[in-house]
Amino acid sequence: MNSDLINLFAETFGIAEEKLLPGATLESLGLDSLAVIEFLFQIEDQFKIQIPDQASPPRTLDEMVQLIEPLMQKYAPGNAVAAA
Amino acid sequence: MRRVAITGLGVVSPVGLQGTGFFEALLAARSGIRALQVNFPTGPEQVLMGHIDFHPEEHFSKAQLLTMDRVSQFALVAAREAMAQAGLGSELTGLTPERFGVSVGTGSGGTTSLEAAYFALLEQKVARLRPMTVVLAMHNAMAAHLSMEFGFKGPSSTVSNACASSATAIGDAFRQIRHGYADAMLVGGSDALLTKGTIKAWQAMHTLAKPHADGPQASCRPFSKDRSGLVLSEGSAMLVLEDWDTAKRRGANILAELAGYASTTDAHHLTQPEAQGQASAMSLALKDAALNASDIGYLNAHGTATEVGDVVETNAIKLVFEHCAKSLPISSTKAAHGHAMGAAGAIEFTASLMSLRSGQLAPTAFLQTPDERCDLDYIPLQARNVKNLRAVMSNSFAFGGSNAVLIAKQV
Repeated sequence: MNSDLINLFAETFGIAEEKLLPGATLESLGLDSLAVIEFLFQIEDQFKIQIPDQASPPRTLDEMVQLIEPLMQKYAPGNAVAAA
Repeated sequence: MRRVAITGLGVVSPVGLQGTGFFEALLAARSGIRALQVNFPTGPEQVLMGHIDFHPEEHFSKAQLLTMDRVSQFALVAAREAMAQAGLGSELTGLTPERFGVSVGTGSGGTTSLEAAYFALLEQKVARLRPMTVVLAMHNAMAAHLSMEFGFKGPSSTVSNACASSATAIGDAFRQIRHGYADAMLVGGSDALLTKGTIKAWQAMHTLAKPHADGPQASCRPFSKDRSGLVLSEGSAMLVLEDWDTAKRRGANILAELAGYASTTDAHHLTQPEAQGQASAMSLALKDAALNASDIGYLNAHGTATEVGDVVETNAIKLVFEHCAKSLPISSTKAAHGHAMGAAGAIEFTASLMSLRSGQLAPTAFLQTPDERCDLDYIPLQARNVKNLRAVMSNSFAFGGSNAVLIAKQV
């Protein structure tokens, strides 16, 4: 999983990185739906990306990474798409 | 009508927690007021305040803190202490969740979060605000957090009556239990309003104290000739109220009986208090408790240390206590913990209960030279031990003319 993302996740919620396994549900990590929304907001700010509204928010860490990682690559600084 | 027992107390204040130094500080006339630097956009200023050196990460996870304003943090820490003392902890053993409610007061709610949001929007020009802004700032957030933490499913309400907020919230809950709408209620108040905007708003009212020559800690001087105004502070106090028989049945340690409550409104002026309205609240509370004025052995005054307020309260006490007024021990503990606004009533009622249980009366700190118009026994400087303390009264009088008075008596 993306290490920047995992670091931010661990830092934001104070959870040890070894507990952040791909299949872990966000609920099992102690996060309710409001905390997930707040985290997505932080990711948008930190990585300067825009996450499209989700019909159903991610339920597992893996789903969250799958949602965010492509956007991080697409909008990464220096990337031609982002520069355009 | 059912009797109402008090079975738990919790405090977060500038002079400590209930279990760690709160009452001891009051007895020793030790003040938690300091002058702290606040960096306003126009430059730094030293501001007198009763600020709590509070470390939220010691009490909450980072995930919890994302959704919890400082005002709710204080409330939860105070509530944990109260619930533990009531022997309830994480379980409502012997009580039904649907019959356990919460009634709390706050003057400013989540104003820290709201001010941060306004700053981000208007000064930092952000395009959007944190998703949690609404649930951080809403006044009833603390009631929601308290309910979720302990599993209360009974009545829930949040009172905002300025400085009488938490006293009113306690009184309302008292009636809920008395008349059978709930068997137990977590009650009290919390305020965390030491923000730049709130401080500037209060400065503009010209009611804040000036630094005293004896040091910033000695700047809140209720009933003193040289008083110069109130000192803003923050904090929380929470109490567990229970139907008397329910508390007995589950073997709870009953600390005191909440015996009387009344609230009145001056209908007079936004900020100027009126003796008649205050006196009416005290008289009605005595009637509610089926007590005579002579039964009250200690009165925790509202005593904010404003020029007008202290004199009006003195006159109101004289109207109610008549020939007993001169011999009634009275103090304002705000000299030590400052004015915690919506939380003040709960903090001071808790101090009154600790006096009722110990027979020790906290003094009015820094009362060296009384205002001659404040000529009652305001327990100057030194704590006092009394015997046979049967009942205590706590006054809370608010901007807007809201008056709330609570009376507790010995078990």
